[in-house]
Amino acid sequence: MVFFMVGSCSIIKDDDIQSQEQLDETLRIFHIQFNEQIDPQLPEAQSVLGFISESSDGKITKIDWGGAIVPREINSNEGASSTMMRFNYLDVNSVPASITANISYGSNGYPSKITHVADDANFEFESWTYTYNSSNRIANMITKRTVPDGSYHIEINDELIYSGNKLSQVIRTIENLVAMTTVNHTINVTRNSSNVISKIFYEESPSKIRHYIQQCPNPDCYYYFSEFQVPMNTGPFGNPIVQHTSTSRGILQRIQLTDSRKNGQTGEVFFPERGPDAFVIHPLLILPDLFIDGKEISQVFINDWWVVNPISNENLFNITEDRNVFVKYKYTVDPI
Amino acid sequence: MKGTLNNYLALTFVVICSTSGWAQFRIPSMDASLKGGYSMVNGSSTDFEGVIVTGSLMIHINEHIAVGPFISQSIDMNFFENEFGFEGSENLAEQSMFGINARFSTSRSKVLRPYLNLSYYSVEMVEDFGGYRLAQKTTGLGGGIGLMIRLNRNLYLNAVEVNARQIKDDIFFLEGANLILELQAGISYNIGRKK
Repeated sequence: MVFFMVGSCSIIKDDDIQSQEQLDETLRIFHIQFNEQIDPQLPEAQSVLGFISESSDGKITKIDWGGAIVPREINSNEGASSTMMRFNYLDVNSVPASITANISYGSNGYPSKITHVADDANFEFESWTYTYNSSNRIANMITKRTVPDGSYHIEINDELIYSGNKLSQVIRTIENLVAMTTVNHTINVTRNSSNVISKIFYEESPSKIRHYIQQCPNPDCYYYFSEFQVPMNTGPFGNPIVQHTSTSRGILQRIQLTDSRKNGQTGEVFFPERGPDAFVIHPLLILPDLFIDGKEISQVFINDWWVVNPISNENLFNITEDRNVFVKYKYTVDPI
Repeated sequence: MKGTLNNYLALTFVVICSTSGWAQFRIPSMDASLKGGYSMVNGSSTDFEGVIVTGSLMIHINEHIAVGPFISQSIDMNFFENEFGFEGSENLAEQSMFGINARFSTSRSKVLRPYLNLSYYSVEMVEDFGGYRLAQKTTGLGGGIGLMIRLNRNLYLNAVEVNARQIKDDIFFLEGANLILELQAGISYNIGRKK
């Protein structure tokens, strides 16, 4: 009798999601969290939390980023132009700020504009405007960055060219509206026999590989190599490793960005003589699933979210352990 | 007076009959078992694994066959996803099982008593993401082998029991998972006449 009484007790609650259809209908991102792990042996430090607002049809319309997001030193280097928002726990010069990301959508249901607004001054300091081709892939991305005093104002026009619905080339034009200069670059994307991106070339130096991408043995994981960083063919050390982790249902759970000095191995430390890299908040990196092939496109724009050795404080050099930055996605079924 | 006597006789008759009835009644021979162990479900990119406890009451049909209900509950279980050499996501999980078991054993011996078992059960699985939970209930058929070691007149040690339990319906959050593997050990106490 006791057995049947105990056995009839269910661990399933009424508000549990009990089917894929129910899950698809009700799941909402609740917040995005940035964690940093200075040493794999140490616990993660949570520094930034972005709270999500959604429209009635479930689209993300706003992210309220808390403190510790840093308008980074403005720098447009060699055609790359990183976003102005950086998360870096190790950067002692960091200035916490309160930032809101606003996302608006076009008639095709994909983002038409994303802005970063500094809440204290209600100042839109960077924005991305997207237009799409007939298959709803990004055809053009215009990035604008400025500062309140007008001493910096840059516009970047990226034209994305596809071959068989796969991104093959980006034509980038950078206009500095203060210095009145224009720089053009072409980013060429090559793929392997499996149609996976293998190399990214920049036209400014066609004989060099600016970025080289190697797929990890695991799905959704890539090693990055850069001429900024280490010689080619050195192996996956001293370079970022990017690992997207999604559930078997395709729901993005986490992005792991590893500033690799040892690639999890023991023994020799590679490239300890430089400071930690920074990973910056960029829509393509943070919200890749808002776009068709968003993860892949974010690889091409790696220069926009990866800042190599940005810290001049030598006290932070000699990093001998892999350093991880985690972007974690928390979901809820409750209406936001 | 006569009525009172009749009542007394009737009451005496009832008591005697009841007493003799109880004297005929024997608790059926059965084993009450408590086991603990590890349970694991492997999906294509997921693992659902942890510690479980299992209780069962096996009523002896004869010396070789026993049948009875069992319950199993996870006490420390986790859901792992996408472990590709990198640290994957990990969530709390829960598993509960309730069903009926049939055990086929060798005869009672002084030391060892190996057995086979077959079971039919309903199983519930829950994955807890903190803000929400995924859950599903299904049924299945399972089988296993085990070895009991006799410790004294009534007590057996279930030295090892290995079960493979099929999951009938796809668990929507456990892609590609269709088998629960269990490794358990515990004790069994024999109640009633020996069979």
